[in-house]
Amino acid sequence: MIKLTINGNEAEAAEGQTILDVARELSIEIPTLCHHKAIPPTGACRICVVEITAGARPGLVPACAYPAQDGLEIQTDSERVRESRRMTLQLLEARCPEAKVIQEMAAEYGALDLPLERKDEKCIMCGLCVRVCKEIIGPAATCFAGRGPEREISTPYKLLSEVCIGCGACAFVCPTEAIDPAEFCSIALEKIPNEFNCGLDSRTPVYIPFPQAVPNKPVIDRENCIHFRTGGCGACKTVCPADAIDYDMEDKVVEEEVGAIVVATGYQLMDPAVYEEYGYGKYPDVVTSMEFERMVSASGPTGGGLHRPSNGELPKTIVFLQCIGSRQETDGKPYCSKICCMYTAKHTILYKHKVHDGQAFVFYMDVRSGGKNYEDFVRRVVKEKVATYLRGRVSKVFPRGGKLMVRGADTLGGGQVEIAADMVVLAPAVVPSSGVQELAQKLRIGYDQHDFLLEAHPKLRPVETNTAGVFLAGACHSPMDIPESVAQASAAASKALGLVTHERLTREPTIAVVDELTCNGCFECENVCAYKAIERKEILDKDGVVTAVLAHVNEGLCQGCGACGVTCRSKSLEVEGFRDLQLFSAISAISR
Amino acid sequence: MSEEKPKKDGQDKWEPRIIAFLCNWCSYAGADLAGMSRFGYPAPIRVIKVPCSGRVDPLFVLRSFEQGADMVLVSGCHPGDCHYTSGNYHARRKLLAFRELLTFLGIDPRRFKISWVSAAEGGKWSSLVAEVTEEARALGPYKEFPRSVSEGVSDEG
Amino acid sequence: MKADGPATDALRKEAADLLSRGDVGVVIGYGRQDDADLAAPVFARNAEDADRLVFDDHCLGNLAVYLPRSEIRAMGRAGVVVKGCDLMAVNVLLRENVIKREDVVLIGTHCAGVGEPQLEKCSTCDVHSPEGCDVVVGEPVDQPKVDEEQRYKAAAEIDAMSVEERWDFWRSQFDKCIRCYACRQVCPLCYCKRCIVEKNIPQWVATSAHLRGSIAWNVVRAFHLTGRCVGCGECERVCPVGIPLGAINQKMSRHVGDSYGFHSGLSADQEAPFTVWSPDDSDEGIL
Repeated sequence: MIKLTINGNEAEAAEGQTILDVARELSIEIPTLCHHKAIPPTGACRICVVEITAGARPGLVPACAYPAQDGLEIQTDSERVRESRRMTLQLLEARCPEAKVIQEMAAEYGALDLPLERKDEKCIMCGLCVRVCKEIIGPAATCFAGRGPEREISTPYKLLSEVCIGCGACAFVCPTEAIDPAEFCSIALEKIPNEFNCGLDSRTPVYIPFPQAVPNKPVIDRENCIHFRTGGCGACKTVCPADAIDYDMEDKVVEEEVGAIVVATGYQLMDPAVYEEYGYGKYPDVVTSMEFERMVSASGPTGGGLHRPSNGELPKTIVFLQCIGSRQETDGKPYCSKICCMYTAKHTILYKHKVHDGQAFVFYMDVRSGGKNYEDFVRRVVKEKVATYLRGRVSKVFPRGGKLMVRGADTLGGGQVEIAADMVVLAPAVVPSSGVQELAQKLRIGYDQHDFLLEAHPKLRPVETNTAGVFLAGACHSPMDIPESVAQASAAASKALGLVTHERLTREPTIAVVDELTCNGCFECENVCAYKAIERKEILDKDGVVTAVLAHVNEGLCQGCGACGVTCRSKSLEVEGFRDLQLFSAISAISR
Repeated sequence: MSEEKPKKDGQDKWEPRIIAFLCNWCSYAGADLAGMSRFGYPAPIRVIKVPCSGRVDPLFVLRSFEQGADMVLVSGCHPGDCHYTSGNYHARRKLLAFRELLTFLGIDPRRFKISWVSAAEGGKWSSLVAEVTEEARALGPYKEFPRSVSEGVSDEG
Repeated sequence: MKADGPATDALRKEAADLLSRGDVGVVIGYGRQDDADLAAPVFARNAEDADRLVFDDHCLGNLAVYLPRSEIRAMGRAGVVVKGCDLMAVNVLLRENVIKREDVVLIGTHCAGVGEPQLEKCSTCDVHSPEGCDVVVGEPVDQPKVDEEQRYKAAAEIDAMSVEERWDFWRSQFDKCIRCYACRQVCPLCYCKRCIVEKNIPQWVATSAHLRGSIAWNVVRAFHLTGRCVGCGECERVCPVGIPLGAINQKMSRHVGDSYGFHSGLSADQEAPFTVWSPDDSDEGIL
């Protein structure tokens, strides 16, 4: 173990660590520009210089590249260090007045005073971009070109690069935001939209899917990852201190035998672009409620700052439109989406938190605030004049003079209203997640004409399905809010536990049984069974040879409808409690 | 519950025998609701509960006629409402084909009824039974169909 | 078609090859003794037996009826001579998992029609040349255009009667039934290990030959074949008392054809009309 002293603090370092590494472990701040964890240091920018006072030849060394050695004594903020950094920054500032980070650093070190003519550059010639492209990503699309004052970052012969893969790593690592990959490369650099933020910002190919993800661990998006696309990069593996990145891991199909399934596929919002009159997708300041939700979230793309997407200004007037697609029998969904009234009331309050002097309007059909304390909440919004509620529909949203004109009817006040808004927030209809039909068919559970999953009984078995052991939780069943979803999920979990925690399964006794002596094995029963309860049972002789394959009823799945028995011509399937003999006798007795 | 008095001593007035197979979840519950709602309906109908209209084997219909039924009614959930998802759809195909067969063989299709009555349709059940009973009365006794008694052979299972 | 024609020669050679190679344990085909009107089934177990096989227009029977039999299964893989109409029955047997395709070798025969005079069904046959067989022997036959209405002629004649007339007609027909079950024995699709008439707890179908039981038997037989019957007509041909069973089968085939677009036996992977459903099925006649 290497022992050294930094700013008088004793520190321990492992073989191969640099002074910078050790200092950062001790939370000692050393400024850097050309340093990046994934790229071997070269000490190009000289911002990270520190002073060796003992243990080696005294003098200034770059902390990012100088290896930790036994007995070193280092000062990171001495007068000599500060003076050196100041001079470096003076020169950089004169060259790069455009670079924000240089300006800030120079201000900190009092280095804004060099009496030289300012250039208009951003690039500090640290070469990080060139090195990341060559050493990490691989194609070496960029290079230094020219000498002396002519020196610049470019491509060979200053032509559009043919080897650039458009990964954007050069721009990503550049400390001064000086790189625009479009200058080098013909491939359009595609930003990866951040799905969780409704595509309002972008994300990297290795990312944590959303804040508060459980487990809170990053995933690699193989389609966009440079390593999977080209075999190069590997930066995430280089920097991961836990050595947790394993590119050889494959997606696995996990097969588990389970006793119960809870379907909780949730909902999505219908695309409001189908209603052209609201201008969603055409005018950037028309957003969905989900997008608004992300915008005002502290963990969202703007860190909670609410800005007009078109120009970044504060929206002084905002209009919320309810029932976009909901309660519209002709060209939308006939049902009420149930959650919009309440979240819109919440959104108006959030809006007021962000824009104190802002004006919020809500166009609504009816305010449906059934639920504990829900009406109080909406009353508060109206009474405290958080928002102005206008009962009526909006006929058109159109731009005029940098504003969005919202034209609608106010059926209570009477007449038409026109509001010049900075932003319009739509509350689109809640629809089931796409692909739920396929899942329902796989599980043999029912769904209605809107693809919401069907419960076994609307009053008495609301979280069960017609297929035994399959339960429903949340908005896959119907539009519902969080408390309702939680209640339903708890109910589904209890039902599932009730099923799987017993040693023996309790079921109705009225299920089908097979007479194996007469079963022909035609399996027409298999086709008519709505529950997949008919299994194929191999009949073995005493040598273990399969002599026949006959129908067998899975007692846990069968619900006892008896369709199989009617289909069976040899009458080899009967439902207990409704056996042929019982019904035969009933007919005989009742006909007398 | 009956709209008229049952026949006295089985002598003075003939009443048809109507055997009805009702699914447990819709039609049987609908008939129950008719009772609870105090909707009257004629007494000649005799109900046998089955789990689902899909459980009604054409053999039941045949057996009912053999045993002296003047009319047979099978009633299940409306299409799309089956408790077992699809039992009534299977029943619809099979029983309509069976009626086609009976008709071809000269068995009056008016003597074999199929209906959809939901658990909420107590009123429908009541009026349906009144209607078919009236029709059965008009059709008269189903003498043509050979019965064990009249044909002199008994083979009770 | 002559018994000593090229079809017979090709058939014998094919059967002898199959048997001598050990590909099959038995070839089920037709044979004729002397100048009998009807060809009888021949079960050829070896290459010498194959010389007893013939194919000509006296070969009426549907040999698919033997395929489900345990005696035949015990002989191993079975070769079977099938006309186009017989092949349809084989397709149903395959669909209903009664036989496996790999357990049979289908020796198809081109057929211009059989019987003397020619059977009614042959005039509306649209499968003169069987498709999907392992081998096909004989001379290909031109496929004339078939009049669909003609195919259901017998049923249409009865349909034209009033309900009362029909009842009188069928009552007199079923009254003749002696419950010999020849119709069942000859039907390739009546393969149940235990026929419904042999089920006695409960006894749905009275067994003695009186009208009530005979109605029940004939109704059940017809209904169990609805959506399955391929119209080979063997039941009617063998009925010793001459009940026009074919007309009933026609009626039901027409019903599933008109209602569900289903024609049984066209392939082995059809879905039988009573095992599937559609929400759009007709509700006509339902109260």
